[in-house]
Amino acid sequence: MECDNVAPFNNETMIETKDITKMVAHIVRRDKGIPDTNIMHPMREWVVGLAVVFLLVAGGVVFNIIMYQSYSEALSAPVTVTETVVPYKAAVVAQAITHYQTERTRYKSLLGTVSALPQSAVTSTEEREIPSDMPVMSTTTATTTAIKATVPEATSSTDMVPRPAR
Amino acid sequence: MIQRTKTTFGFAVLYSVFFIGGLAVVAYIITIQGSQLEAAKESIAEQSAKNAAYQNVMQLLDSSAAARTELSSYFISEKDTITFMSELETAANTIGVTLNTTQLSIVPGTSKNGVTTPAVLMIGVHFTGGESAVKKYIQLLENVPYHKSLPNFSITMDTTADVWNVTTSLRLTMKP
Repeated sequence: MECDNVAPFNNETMIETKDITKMVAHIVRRDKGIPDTNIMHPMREWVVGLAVVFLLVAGGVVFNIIMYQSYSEALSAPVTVTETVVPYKAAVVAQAITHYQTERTRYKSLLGTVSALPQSAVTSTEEREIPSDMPVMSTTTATTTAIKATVPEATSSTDMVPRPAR
Repeated sequence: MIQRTKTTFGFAVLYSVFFIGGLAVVAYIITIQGSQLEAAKESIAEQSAKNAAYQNVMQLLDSSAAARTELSSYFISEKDTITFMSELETAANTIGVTLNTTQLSIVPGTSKNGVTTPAVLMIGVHFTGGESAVKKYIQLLENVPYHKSLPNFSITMDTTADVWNVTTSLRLTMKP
């Protein structure tokens, strides 16, 4: 089936520019909104096919170029490194060290005080030599020397053994 | 449709398929390469982050070595247990209290839900003596230079003999 408005197309004649222009004008033409009733227009289909393929190729090329460009930019972009901050509570550590240093100082001070006491001045219950007739209430903090020295004058246990302040 | 037209149409279709297929292959290759690039960048970022974290940790370890060593000395080790007990007994004798050790045990550490609880040295003591001696010995126990707690404490006074009885226990965290 051939289009009536299209120039005859045979093997012997070359298609010129004006003919193609005429064909395209015929294809795109609308007669006052009335669609072309011809079912097949070989040249129209040809041009439409060419246009579709051209659009597909052009779109594909543009799409590939855009994608390539985006990956190229991503390649040249610097790598973002997320640094993890290691939690270290220096203030708490310093506070703990200060606390324990104070405790150690007190502990050594207490041990030092204890060590500084004359060993002879501290007696245990078993080491003491107390006369059986002497009234004694305290059994730990009295000194042997003091007891022996004060026994003759002592009238009560409180005089002999000083009680520590409570 | 004449033969030439058919041939031309066939070539046109072939060319179209060839070009469109070529473009699709190129797009596929670009996508694959892009995905590999993204994965490589993520891997590089991850490795860089790990490297930075490692450097930070090493720097922190170097700068906090002295503090950690000192802190470590405030946790009793198993080999120091006997020495510490001897020290307590010597101090008790020196201060003038009668010391009885009622408990000496090591509660092993546990690990639950990723939280490790260190081993604990439990020392139960009962000591008697005069007021000042007992007070001094309590101070000594309170200032034991180890990470510790005194979970229980009771003190009674024997009025007839003016003797103070103290029962307490020390809970010392052991060095891991």
